[in-house]
Amino acid sequence: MSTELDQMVDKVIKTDFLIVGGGLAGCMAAIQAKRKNRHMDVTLLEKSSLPVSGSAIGLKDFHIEEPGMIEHPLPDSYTLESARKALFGVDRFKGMVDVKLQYTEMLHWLKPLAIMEDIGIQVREDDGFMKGVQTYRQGTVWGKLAYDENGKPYEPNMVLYRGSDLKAKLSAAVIKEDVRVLERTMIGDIITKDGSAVGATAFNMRTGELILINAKSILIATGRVTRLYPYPYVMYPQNLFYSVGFSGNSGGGVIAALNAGAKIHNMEFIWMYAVSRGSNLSSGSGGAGWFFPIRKSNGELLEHKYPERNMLQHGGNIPPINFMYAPNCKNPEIENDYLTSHMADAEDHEVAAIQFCAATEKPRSLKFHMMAGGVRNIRPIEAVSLCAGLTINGIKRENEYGETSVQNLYAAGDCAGHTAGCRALTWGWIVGDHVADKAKEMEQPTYDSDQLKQIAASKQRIFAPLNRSVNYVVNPLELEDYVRNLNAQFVGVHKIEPRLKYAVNQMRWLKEAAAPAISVKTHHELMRALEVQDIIELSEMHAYTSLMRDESRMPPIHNRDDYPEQDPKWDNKTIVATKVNGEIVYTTENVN
Amino acid sequence: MYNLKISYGPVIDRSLCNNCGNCYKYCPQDVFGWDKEKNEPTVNYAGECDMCCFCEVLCPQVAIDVKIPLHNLLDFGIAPVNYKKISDTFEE
Repeated sequence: MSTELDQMVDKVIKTDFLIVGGGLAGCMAAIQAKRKNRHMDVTLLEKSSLPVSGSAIGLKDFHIEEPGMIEHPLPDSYTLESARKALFGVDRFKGMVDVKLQYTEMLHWLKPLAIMEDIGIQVREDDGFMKGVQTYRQGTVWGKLAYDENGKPYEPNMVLYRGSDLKAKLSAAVIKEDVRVLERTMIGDIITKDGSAVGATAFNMRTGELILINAKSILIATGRVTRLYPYPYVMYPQNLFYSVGFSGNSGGGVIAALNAGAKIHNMEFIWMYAVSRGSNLSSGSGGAGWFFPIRKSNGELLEHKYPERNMLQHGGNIPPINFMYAPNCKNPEIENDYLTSHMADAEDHEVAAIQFCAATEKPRSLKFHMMAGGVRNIRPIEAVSLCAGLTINGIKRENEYGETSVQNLYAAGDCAGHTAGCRALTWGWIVGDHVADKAKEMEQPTYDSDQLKQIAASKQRIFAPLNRSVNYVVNPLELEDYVRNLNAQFVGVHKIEPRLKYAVNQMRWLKEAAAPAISVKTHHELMRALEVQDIIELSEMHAYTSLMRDESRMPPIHNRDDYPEQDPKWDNKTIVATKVNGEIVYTTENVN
Repeated sequence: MYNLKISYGPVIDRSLCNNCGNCYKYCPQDVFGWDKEKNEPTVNYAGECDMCCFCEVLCPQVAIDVKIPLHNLLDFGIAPVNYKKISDTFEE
């Protein structure tokens, strides 16, 4: 058996815990697993380079779910009902997230902060206390506190800390904990046995090496899917990779989980950013003041107009701050105006906030400002950037350990939905902690002929586009550009049935008509070829679920122009996609 | 004459580069390649550069300038006539 395997793959690794993706969730899972169980063998797959990969390079905020509630353990008064009503709770997401997961998150939310402090992140101010801010009251106004009518400050809902080196320190800690890190290696397929994940294939984009990892447990932590939509303004020539998030993320982990039998849900909901032209922001920077203050053309400040920073009454949802200023499909007052990121007369604390945020971003953020001669400038805000993830879509988790419907296959971070940023750290911790205990009792999986068949099929799939002989060579980047524009034009924010139907049919057709004609010459290009196939699959799910949900919920995150109202028949219902005999099947399930 | 070619992305100043390999090792998008004969980094996939500028920061020789696309410069209010390479700003 082992000879047969050796002939098929270039390398076989046996490990207790395989982590796919080395972002916040993946790194935190690796660190916590090793700290809890030193003798455990942990392997981390990273498509990029560990210290600089992922959507978050730094992170400067840690949300407190309930304003003021920073106690740990949770007070007895905190119940499922509290979790439901919390700031980012189930009610905010219109019932589309699992309240049990929300509650579990609260049980553990402070633990990654302790690890972060231990590995050298400055989570405290110089006076030894943490800095709390009230973003739900004050938005980006960091220097001041908001007071109630009795002169008492409102409770904070976020801890601010100096986390510009978070990713670098996490990756250093991962290496220090003796985790096996495979860089430039992307996941191929998950190998299953009797409904349980027992390993995965992976391939190195530089050497072309095919690796088989035999694992007791697998965590998918591949982050949000950044590349479903085009960036709203493009360069000459077209650049597919300039984006708000980490543009290496193409949803490979989500598709691998789908192919392994896991449930993918909520794919119709898509996150939306407003972006200021010229800059590039992530929620971290945008949330805390990247392009504030925003003015209307008549000079009116939007935050004065919407002091609660929440445009719920206008159809905008989820307030984490920059999003609700997005030119909302239901707010013509904003849509039909010229909005600017008006930093010319910014106050000092706003300038400080922007510099603070830019330091937690990719180096380009500070570079752009340096070249422009400082942050006090005026830039138009007009575009909408859409990205999957950051909202509630992704791999469905079935229990409080983040396990999916496939046994021993876990999901954490943004690919699992509703768990970006600080909650990616929390969920990474939860999974790492759980797997560390479980690994002691588990046997290393053995493979029989069925698993070998899966490995052979995976190898065939991965290397098929390499030097493929075709009459018309399809360039994977060109195909990706087509798919992303198709999403923008036929799905997007203003969804209507006929356009969605076309998008679904076209995506299905592309799988037959275009994908098999992709031909590439190098292993780097082979990675792009595999990515675009994942993007097509995700796009199909996105379009089909958008078509299925004949209502609008949390617009513009899911906005059907032909069904503008929220429909009670969809309350508490999530659309789940699974793969049965190679076909994606869609069903509805109750969330809570 | 100009044509449709990638006009942005990392540019290596060969007079400064000491072939340490940091850019090749760390680029998140795998834009760089390695010329084994000359033992030096190459820019293989400039079109896949997302302008993150990590290579600039991690280059000990300040030999890399990530050329910013014209769209960004203009939208950001940076006049191309005043454009300075990152290494030039260090000398000042």
